[in-house]
Amino acid sequence: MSLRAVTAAASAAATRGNGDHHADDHGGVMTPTLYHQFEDVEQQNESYLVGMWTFLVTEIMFFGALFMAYSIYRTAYPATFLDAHKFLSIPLGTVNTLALLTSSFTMVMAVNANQHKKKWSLINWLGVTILLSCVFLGIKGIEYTTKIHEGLYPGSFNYARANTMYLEHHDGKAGHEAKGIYPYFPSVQELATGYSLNRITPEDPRAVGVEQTPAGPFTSYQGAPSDVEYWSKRAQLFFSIYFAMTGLHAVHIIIGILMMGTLILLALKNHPYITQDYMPTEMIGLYWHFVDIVWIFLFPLMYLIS
Amino acid sequence: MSVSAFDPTGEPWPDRGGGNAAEPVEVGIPRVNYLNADHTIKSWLLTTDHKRIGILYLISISVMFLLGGLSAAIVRLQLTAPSGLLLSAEAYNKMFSSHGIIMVFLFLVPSIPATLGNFLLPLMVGARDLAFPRLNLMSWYLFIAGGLLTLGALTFGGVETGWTFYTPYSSIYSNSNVALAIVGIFLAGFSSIATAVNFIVTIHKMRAPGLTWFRLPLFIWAMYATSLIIILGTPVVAITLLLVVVERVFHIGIFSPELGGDPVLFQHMFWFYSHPAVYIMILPSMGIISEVIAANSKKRVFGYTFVAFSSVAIAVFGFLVWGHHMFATTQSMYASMVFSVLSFLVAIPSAVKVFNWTATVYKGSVEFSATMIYALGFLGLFTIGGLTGLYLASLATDIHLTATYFIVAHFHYIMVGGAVTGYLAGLHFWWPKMTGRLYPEFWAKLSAIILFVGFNLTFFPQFVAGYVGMPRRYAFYAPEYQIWQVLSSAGASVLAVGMLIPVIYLLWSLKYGKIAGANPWGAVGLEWTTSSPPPTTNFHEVPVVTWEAYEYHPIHDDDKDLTIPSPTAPEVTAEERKA
Repeated sequence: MSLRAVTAAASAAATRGNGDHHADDHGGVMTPTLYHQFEDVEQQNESYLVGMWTFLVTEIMFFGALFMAYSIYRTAYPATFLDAHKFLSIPLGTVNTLALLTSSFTMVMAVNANQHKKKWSLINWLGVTILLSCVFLGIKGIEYTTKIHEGLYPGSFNYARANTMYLEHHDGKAGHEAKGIYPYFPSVQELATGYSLNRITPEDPRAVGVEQTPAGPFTSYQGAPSDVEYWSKRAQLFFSIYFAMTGLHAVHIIIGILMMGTLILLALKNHPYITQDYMPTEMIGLYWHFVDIVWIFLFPLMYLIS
Repeated sequence: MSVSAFDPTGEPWPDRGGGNAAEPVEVGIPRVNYLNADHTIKSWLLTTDHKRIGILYLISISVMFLLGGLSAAIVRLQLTAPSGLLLSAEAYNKMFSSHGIIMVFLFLVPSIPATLGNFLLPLMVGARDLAFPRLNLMSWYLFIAGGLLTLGALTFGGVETGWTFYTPYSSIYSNSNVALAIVGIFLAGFSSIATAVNFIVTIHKMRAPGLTWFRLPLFIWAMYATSLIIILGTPVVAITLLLVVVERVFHIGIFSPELGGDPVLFQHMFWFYSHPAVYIMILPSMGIISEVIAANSKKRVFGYTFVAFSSVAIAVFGFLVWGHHMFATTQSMYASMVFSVLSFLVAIPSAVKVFNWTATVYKGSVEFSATMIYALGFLGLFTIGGLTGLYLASLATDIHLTATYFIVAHFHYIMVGGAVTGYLAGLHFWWPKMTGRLYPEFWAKLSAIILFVGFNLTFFPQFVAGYVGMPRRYAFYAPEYQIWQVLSSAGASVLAVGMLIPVIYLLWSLKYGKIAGANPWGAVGLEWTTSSPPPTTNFHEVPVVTWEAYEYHPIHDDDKDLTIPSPTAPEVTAEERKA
């Protein structure tokens, strides 16, 4: 659908809204401020749309570079990514996905309300959207806190501690059961007694060329590259990418919340941006859908590796 | 009296083609124009007028150019002696890093788009302003904020990484100034993204009635291609540099081998932007050269559509060649071979442009004005720069030449010989439009020639020094290279004179220059149909375009006595002239 068609459809929607006898429908035709550089409102609105989409292209490239880094490292170290991702909580991720998807829907409803000049409907839908994004950020905060508590943050990556805590969280299942989930993880007992490379099966690509000798205790390891060090670094890389991408995404969510808050304030003040125009809401809606779509890619790539 | 291509009376070119003679335009400085519409400082700092923002940018980047030039001067001074004249190795590293960072991120990238592009784009498409004037002002403030941060980091502490910020130099082996400098560059990057969004929307949506895509001046095509690169490339370098900052601050080690990452990935992501960024710098210059050569040859640009599409082709190919910066790294040989072939392909659209400009000059009525001297200088220097690029795109020769002075010479031929020469040509060409006054032609010609000579003396010896093996970025060097370094430093002082003369006479012309009139060059294009300097709203009424781009008609020696050079003018035979 061309941009012109989109604008025409939106205008038609706005016109239809006039016949809608809703309680907070103030009716009347919208007359947005026409800025001096434009000939007419249609040109102005089309320019806004082209501008916003162009900006979103830059956003795609911004995140795209990180997605590329992710792809490269995941292709290089598939097994470690598979292992490391198991520290992420799929239920929490799923709730967050649902929250964001719903918030995209409520954002659409907010834009629709603005086009129909329903002030309180707009404020309510924006409020729900903000609420859902706060739910998202809250859950993200819980996840981050857990990761930091477990020592799974870059720079002071403590995978042994994470493993111990994981076992505690899973009703203290025995080491061999944990090994079922983490085939390359040493158990707590092994860490205490010294971890040996001999556990690597011959099929493991990392076994090639590795000297099959005990590598010494993990905690005071000083010598040549061992399996533990190898695993730690690569798993740390997974969490580097995880924090970089979800962190950048969270910053975008916060910016979105601030912009939606501004819209609510403008609506409360009966500002012409809201009463006579719907493009500001529409633009922020486009931005919000973009933020949502980024998460739609992040969720399977981070949480659902298999 | 024959019709001079440089009619200082400001008479508009008599024939626009298609019988559409231009409206007579008033001579002299209009009483109210964008410059004197309001005089307060506030009216400048809060302006949303694209022309005033262009002037703000012009002043800011001129300061940046001066600072970058000063660090280059110190570098050249240091290198006159093999054991170094002034600086320790550390201070030398900081100095060439300052030069590179300032020149690339704070001068070359914004140079033409943010000054001449800002000023001219709405005029050329017949619009009253860019689509988003406040965004445009914001971009200037972002640039200033980023520029000050970067300059602060470079001045107080300094950065030793070179302009490329390669990890682990920038992450493990350097001080925290790197983070500050990078944040500054990040902000400057946002400023160029804002400008590019503005340009793309304006070109798509705000062209005057009748101004179809293929009636657009080639400068606009160049701006469009440049904006495309900025849109697609700048965000990538922004996130790449941001990752270096978060590595320093939060130990997010995507590029750190200690944290599991790979430093070569930084190079890939950096050059994904920074190779196309070279085209961000050169494409606008190419747009200017198209305008200048057409106006000075009084001839339509030969192969208009080819020149237009070659800009877009350069923008597209530019994104496929970044790997040629990494032939000497862990990049696989097969990847290198593909990148090598693709790099050769960029030569095609570049050559299309050079040949078409040459063909434009052929049988034109060429005026050897200052702008034309700059343009012809551009042709030669850009060709040398481009052809030596092929040495570096070849796998085998690159292994010998990479990280030597050969590379330094190559990219200075493109960046200074190409981009800066084009920028100066454009600045002179549109100076009367921006200020309403003419610069002194003699001094302009003189400085153009000095610049050309000084430039070649500076950088040609570096080709030789690099070829015989002198590595770049060395503070001290073996004595056998001294002859080339001394030649280069001598050339740099000539170059500096060639840069300083325009500063003096352009400032002088602001007050004492001749009144230019609306169209001093007899050029076509919408920007010449409005007064000089233009009114705040650019045009008193929306122009309607009914003519093709570059409707010039060359005046040949045979028909110099014709006062109106027009294809409909009667043929004058030799016998008639004798009679």
